[in-house]
Amino acid sequence: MERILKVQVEAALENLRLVRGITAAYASELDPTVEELTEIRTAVSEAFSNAVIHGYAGQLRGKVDLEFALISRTALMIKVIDKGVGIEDIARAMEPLFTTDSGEERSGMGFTVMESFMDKIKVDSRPDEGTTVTMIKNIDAYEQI
Amino acid sequence: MWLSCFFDKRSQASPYSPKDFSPKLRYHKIRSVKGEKGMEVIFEVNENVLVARLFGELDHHAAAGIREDIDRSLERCAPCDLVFDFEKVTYMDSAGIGMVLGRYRRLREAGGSVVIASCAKTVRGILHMAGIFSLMPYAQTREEAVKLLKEKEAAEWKEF
Repeated sequence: MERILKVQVEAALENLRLVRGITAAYASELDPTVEELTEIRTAVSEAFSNAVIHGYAGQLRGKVDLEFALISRTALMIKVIDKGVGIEDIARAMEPLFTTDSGEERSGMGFTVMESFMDKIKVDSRPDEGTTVTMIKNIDAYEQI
Repeated sequence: MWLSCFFDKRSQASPYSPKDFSPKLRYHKIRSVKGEKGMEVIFEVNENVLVARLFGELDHHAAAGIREDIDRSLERCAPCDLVFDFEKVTYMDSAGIGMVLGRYRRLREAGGSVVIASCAKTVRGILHMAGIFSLMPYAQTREEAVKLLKEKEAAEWKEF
């Protein structure tokens, strides 16, 4: 793993734009296409939204750790770590359209978006201990040419 | 007093569908809401169609404010149809899906329709992923979307 970057961001939705900016700045080093960059930005933004909305349930202001690393010349790993409430049933949480929050019109598509935009996604979580979302994205624009 | 007479006459003289009787909808109105949360919406009322033109990045932070703005405008000009114009939306995630679906459900209960207009490729991809386009049609521009809704309404009125 190379070029490790760790950032701690306060768990608030106001910081979504900042998180996307940090992600874009880091990922652009790999020279991705505009589309790939959008996909990475969106996936990280979804993971961060989940941490704020569900992990910390929008109440106690916790911190979210973002870790970026290059695992090869063309692959990027991003971890989004919160110390919130955790997920009891991870498989269920990752189902499309599943949401625990019925009042605020959540779509339940967060994990689906992450899954389809990134090449690999792994979710580790324990109730009351927090959740870690690990995502890997291959950027293979060079190989295509 | 004379003003109310004026409106009364105008509304009775309307040869169009019953929705047109409301005088406040006769005019092309534009209202702009500068969101506190970094997103702007411009509302245009075109007879019975409310066009919401969104500007900026639509994430979970922006969606909360936008939802309220759109709902308030919908209440004001009900009964009406809604066009989402995503032309100037540079970013969208699942928050946008939730917002579109929420407005769709509300309007469907009231008998209205929703049309999505002019999305960027990435925005369209997200909406497509959630199956939004199996629920509501897509139009290339907002003018086309308005036309689509008017044609639909004219067809319904004819059937009736």
